[in-house]
Amino acid sequence: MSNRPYSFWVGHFTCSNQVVLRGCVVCFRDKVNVMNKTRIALLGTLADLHAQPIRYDLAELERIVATTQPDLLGVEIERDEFERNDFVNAPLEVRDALIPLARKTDMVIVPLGAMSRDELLASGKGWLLDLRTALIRALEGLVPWIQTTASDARTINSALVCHTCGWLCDLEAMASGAAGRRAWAAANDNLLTQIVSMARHDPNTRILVAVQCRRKHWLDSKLRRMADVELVNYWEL
Amino acid sequence: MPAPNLPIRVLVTSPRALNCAGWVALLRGQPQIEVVGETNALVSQVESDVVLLDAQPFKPQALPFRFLAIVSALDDAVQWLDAGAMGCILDTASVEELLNAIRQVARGDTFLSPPIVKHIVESAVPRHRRSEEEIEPLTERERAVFQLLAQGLSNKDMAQKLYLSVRTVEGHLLNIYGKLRVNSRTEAVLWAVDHIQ
Repeated sequence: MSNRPYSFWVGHFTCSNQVVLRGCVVCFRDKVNVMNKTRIALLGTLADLHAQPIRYDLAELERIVATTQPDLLGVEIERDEFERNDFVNAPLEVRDALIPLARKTDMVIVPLGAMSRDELLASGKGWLLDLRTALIRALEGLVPWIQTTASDARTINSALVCHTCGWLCDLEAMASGAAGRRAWAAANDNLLTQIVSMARHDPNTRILVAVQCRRKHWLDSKLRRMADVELVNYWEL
Repeated sequence: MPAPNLPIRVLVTSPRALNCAGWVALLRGQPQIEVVGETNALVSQVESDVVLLDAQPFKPQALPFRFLAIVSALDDAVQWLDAGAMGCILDTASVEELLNAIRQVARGDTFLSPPIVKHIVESAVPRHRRSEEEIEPLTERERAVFQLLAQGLSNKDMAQKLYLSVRTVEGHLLNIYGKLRVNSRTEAVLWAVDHIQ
């Protein structure tokens, strides 16, 4: 069903004519359900990418999140550490920008668990291990280029940087061998499970999830296929 | 009530220049809050969503606008609430509590600092008891919200504890008020004190 008749009927949805209202619900049940999906946006961050010191504009990240004003803000931090106010191991952007911002607003922080930074390590033995290590090192050599060209949240979430980050990580996962690929997929799966459970815990809310940009590409594709969530860009939330 | 994406317009009222300047400086740095002015006396008309009132220098009185009173004594809080304050916090409150209070009052809700809630509960007499049979049972989620409400937590703090959105918590509170047949969080807390061991 196209969007055009749907918009037309929504115009009637708010009027007092019960017949029209009932007709709308019956005829457009699928579309009405779409309206009730939990809206999720992923916001890629870069602050702790590969634990390398980088220039990263936290003020820009804060501005974006403050403007978006999500109901729930998912961040990569362990729940027990968050509840203890222990942010020593939290990523820089979570500790210095997102948590302080949420405390000053109505946003509720939802800890999604801490992500390891070492999933994409080479596996194997002998020359194969050396080759994989060299390949990964070569691919990581491209990271400084991303870091210098994308030093703020807006640029990092541009299609170009997101896809480049995603492809780079896919290549690294391929280069790392079976064990590396499994660890990469398991970590991403775990994060996906946490995001979905956050959405199901409080449905019909506006959720923004701040994730390392290297995971955004992978999570985007999985979340887009989920029936009960609607993945949108952060500026559409 | 301000539209969801518009900043909350706050007028600061205090005859004490240092306090006034401090609150204005503090609020100017906060997201989603706009300080629309400062006055050293009570005014009759304001163009703001919330008036932040330094209550200590004034006598409790009804005012024709939505205001949040900052008090230094618990008894003053009760008198200002009687006079129509939408919220009351102690002058020893944290910045976070002040911001929570402003947001909650701007939305039309009541906000009380936990020590004020405790004081009201302890001093409230007489209390009206209702038999348990009259009360529609609360859902598990509503019970969790109610327990935190009885501890004097703000809506934001309850939401953060339960990892729910503030809007969801507000929805649960409305359901709870309906089921307990009370009209405000203060009455709900009183009900809790009467009925929960």
